[in-house]
Amino acid sequence: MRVKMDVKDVKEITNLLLTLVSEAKFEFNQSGMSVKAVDAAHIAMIVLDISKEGFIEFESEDAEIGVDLEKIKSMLKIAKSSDVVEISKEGSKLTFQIGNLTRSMALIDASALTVPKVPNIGLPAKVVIKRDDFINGIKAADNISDSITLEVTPTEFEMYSVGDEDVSKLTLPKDMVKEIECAEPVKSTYPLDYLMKLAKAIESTEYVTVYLGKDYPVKIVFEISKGNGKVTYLLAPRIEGE
Amino acid sequence: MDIPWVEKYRPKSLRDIVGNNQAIAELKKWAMEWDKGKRQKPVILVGKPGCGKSSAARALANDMRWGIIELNASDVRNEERIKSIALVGAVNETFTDDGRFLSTKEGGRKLIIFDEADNLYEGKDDRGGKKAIVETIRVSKQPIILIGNDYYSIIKGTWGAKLRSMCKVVKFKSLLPSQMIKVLDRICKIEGIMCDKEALRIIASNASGDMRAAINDLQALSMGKKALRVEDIKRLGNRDDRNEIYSSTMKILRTMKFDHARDAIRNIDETPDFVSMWVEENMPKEYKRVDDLERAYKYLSRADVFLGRVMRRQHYALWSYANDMICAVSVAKMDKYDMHERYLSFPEWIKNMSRSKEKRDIRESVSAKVGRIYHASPGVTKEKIIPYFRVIYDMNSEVRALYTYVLRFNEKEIGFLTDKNPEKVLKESQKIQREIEKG
Repeated sequence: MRVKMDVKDVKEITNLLLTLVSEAKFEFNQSGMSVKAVDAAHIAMIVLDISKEGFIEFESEDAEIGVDLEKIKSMLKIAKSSDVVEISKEGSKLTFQIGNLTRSMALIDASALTVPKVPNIGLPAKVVIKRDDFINGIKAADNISDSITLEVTPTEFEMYSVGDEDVSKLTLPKDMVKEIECAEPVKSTYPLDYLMKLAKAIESTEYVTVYLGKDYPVKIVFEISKGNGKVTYLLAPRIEGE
Repeated sequence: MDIPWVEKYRPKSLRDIVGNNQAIAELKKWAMEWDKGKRQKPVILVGKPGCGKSSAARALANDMRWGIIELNASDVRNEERIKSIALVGAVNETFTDDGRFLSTKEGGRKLIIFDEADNLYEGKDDRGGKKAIVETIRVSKQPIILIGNDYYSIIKGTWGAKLRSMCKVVKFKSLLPSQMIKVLDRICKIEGIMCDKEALRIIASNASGDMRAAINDLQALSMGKKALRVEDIKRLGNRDDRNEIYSSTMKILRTMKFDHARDAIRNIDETPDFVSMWVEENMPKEYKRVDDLERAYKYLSRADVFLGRVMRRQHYALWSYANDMICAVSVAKMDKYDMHERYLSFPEWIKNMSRSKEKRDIRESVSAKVGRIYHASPGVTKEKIIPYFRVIYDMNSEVRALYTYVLRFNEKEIGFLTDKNPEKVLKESQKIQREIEKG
């Protein structure tokens, strides 16, 4: 296996995965790469699919590669965002080459890493909003409460967080979102720190699609690698009532 | 190598679990209540190794189609990690590895398992672990099971006491040889191994109630074989019965026979000085007659003399004499004491030393620094110089500022030398430093 990719894209992929796990199994085939991961608390999942067009060069047979993500992150710290990294696998070593710099690292036994199956969840409401709006709505809730509620009505999208004393709220009326599909109002509440980590890791996409249900998981879908890759992030809601 | 049979044949359902019917029934009932939407107290499963506790917990989750989060001794279990995994899992809904979303409204739950909960290394890697478990239990909307061999390690300490009041206990018994033979026989049939009944009986009785040990032995013995006979078992030898400090101390104090006491510490994984401290700590609670105590202390002091020689001469052969002297405590009593079962305590001396460690470290570092300018060894400095130095340092602000600068005392060291506010002292010394540097 040998691929080339912009450092910027590798960084974003690594950061996205690191929001949930510290090790991941990358599955390669001739047409591209995919990663699936579930966090240790079993409340969030992430699926990354990148077609080979998302790479600058792409040569690969079917391969499974287990990687320590922290190692990649620390290695990428020395690279500039405009650099290109060449990644190749030989035996049980993965080699990264950035300019004149090479670093190889031991792979993790891929069979020891479980790849979760991703549930197929039907969600009635859908909104497409600007990435910056999404991030601002989440970041505004920082230090207010440890959870955040997302709500979609036929006319607007809201993200709010209610603490003991403080409240944060982002309201996007219909004309400020790119798309809204909603028959009746739905809302669910989620752990804030998961979304906060996600907000810090999303970088390149312009729009974020949010699928929502009533006290049900949220599905957040967005693009990476210049539109040639897709990320699906699933987060389970708080347990309400009882 | 093949996957370990212990994993391969781990029961998938509670129905497949051998023995402990009562405990299993209790667990089932507990889970059914959860299923009805009634929050239940967490359960602590207690029992000897290999009696089916962890298997039962996982099989239960499997039967109920619940998800599982498991934290065992191979994970770091400090406060932060437990909170970020167990506590977060306890208040949110669940995805499973096999692609299901579980909503508590529809009865979908996840079981949070703290395996080997008696092995939390509080104060080392697992700082705040028990506290985090208690906090998880407080907010949890999901079922929780704690598992351990030793109930008393789980409930010791402030947070342990809270655990005791918050949880209910389900006891697992060790398996009987007949129950184990049944399981071993089934495994042999599936693996296609011809096996003497007698051979299985020996394996089962060797394992003394530990199913995991029995299955491991069976796998090791039948590696690359199609038949297992009694002669093959002889290779195995007897399973090493490790003595634990706790039970050994108890034996030394209870027995009237020197040989029994010696047996008790023969295989122990502790050094004689540690054993001697345990005996010393707990002896006065057991021995009540003054002349018994006198004799016992005499033997312990002899043991201590030998231990001192071991250290000074680095001659570890002398340990065996120390051991004999410790064992002699058992025959120091004229008659047995019929005391009730009591729980021995950890040597107070070691506790105190670890508690005062920081203080002693500071005293050492101050002595080393002061000793350097007085050209004296740390020992002499500590005894002869520090007491006076401390008075002068405390009274005279110029001396204080100068020495603080010259010896680069930090806040803790300043706190050891004077009651004055360390921050102010540091500021004064910085003033002097500037003056000196200016010349």
